[in-house]
Amino acid sequence: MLTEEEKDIMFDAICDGEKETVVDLVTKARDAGEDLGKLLNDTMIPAMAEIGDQFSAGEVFVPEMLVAARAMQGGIDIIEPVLAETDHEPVGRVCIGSVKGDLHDIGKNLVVMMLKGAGFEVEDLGVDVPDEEFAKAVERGNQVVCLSALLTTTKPRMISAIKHLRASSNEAKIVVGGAVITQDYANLIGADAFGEDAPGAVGAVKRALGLVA
Amino acid sequence: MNAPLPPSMQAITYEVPMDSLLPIAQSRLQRQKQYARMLERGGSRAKGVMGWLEQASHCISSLGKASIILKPIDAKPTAQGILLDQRVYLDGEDIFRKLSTGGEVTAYLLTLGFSQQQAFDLLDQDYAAHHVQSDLASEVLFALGRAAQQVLRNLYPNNRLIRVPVQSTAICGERRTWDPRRVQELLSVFDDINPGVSLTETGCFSPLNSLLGLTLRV
Repeated sequence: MLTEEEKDIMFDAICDGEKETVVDLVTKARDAGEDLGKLLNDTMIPAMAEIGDQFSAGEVFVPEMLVAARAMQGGIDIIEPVLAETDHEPVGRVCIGSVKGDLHDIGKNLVVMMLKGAGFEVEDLGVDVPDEEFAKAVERGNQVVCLSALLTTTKPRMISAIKHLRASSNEAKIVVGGAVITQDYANLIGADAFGEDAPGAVGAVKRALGLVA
Repeated sequence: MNAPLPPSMQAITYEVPMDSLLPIAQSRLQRQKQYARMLERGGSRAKGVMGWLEQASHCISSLGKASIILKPIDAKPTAQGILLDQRVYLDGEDIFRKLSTGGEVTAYLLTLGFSQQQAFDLLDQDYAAHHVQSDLASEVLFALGRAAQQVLRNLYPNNRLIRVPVQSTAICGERRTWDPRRVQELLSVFDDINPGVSLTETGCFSPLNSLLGLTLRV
């Protein structure tokens, strides 16, 4: 079993992007029969949350988040096949896409990485997504729809996407984000939550699902 | 049969080799604060980023077909504004004044010639590598833009050149923009020679790494 010190080392290794260290320790935990779901929830996901907080505070930049996500993924690649044989459930199921007419994916992709790092199952719908595709994604079991718009001319497309979703399903929660989106705009268009950046989107999804206040 | 365009009004297309743009773009990307800080620290973080940079360069080099298309267009000051190529109006008192005293306009269209989806697929859907690719592609596009300006300086060595960017959307809502319909009209200037650049109804270029603009020669 991993010692507390080793778990601290793993936490730091994720934050510092030390993929090999993460892989070594997760492999050791797996081979020792450790509860990998607990390791994921108690050590690894909080490490990604820490790097997310640092990013939101302006202490680190996107490349630091990328290497942390890479290190995290190194561990997840070992854990996932093991958890697949148990009844381990993801934290939640989320779909995400850039609204119709918007071909930008850079922000959306960062959110995908951070959501996966937070233990969510993510369906990436891509860019230029027609309204009905979001609704279909809800029918496939997604609990949260994340809408991304990067442009002043595409942000109004969120309105029609939300309208379509509300008409199709009362169950899915809607989270919005993107460089041109604000909390006020999110409130105006009836979104359930707003993510101000990629780590913020994780918090928004959790709030939308009632996992945090 | 239409009369041929005079040489002064004919379009010119340049294909720019990626290996003349990529080194400049790589260097500029590595100097960006977000990357420079990590690379300076060295270690496995820096190694990770350099690995993605290598993948990104290979991806852009494999997929990219960088093109500059320049086309002199008719620009008439009118009461409604400056009428470009008989099809779209441009605002701007300063530009109006310069054109009224004999300035001329060249429209330019630049593209890297590949979509972000193509890049994502070539990178085996690795989000991190794709992000670095996206940043690098932006720098390549800017390098292409500088190359285009150099071409114009070589063509018109005795003119002062003033760039008028044309974009239909503002990422932060502060920059002056054209509406998508007018950008579409201006893009149609290149219909006969367009290397595959289009515009969504909301004004997003496809492929994303494309630029449309005007250069005023005075």
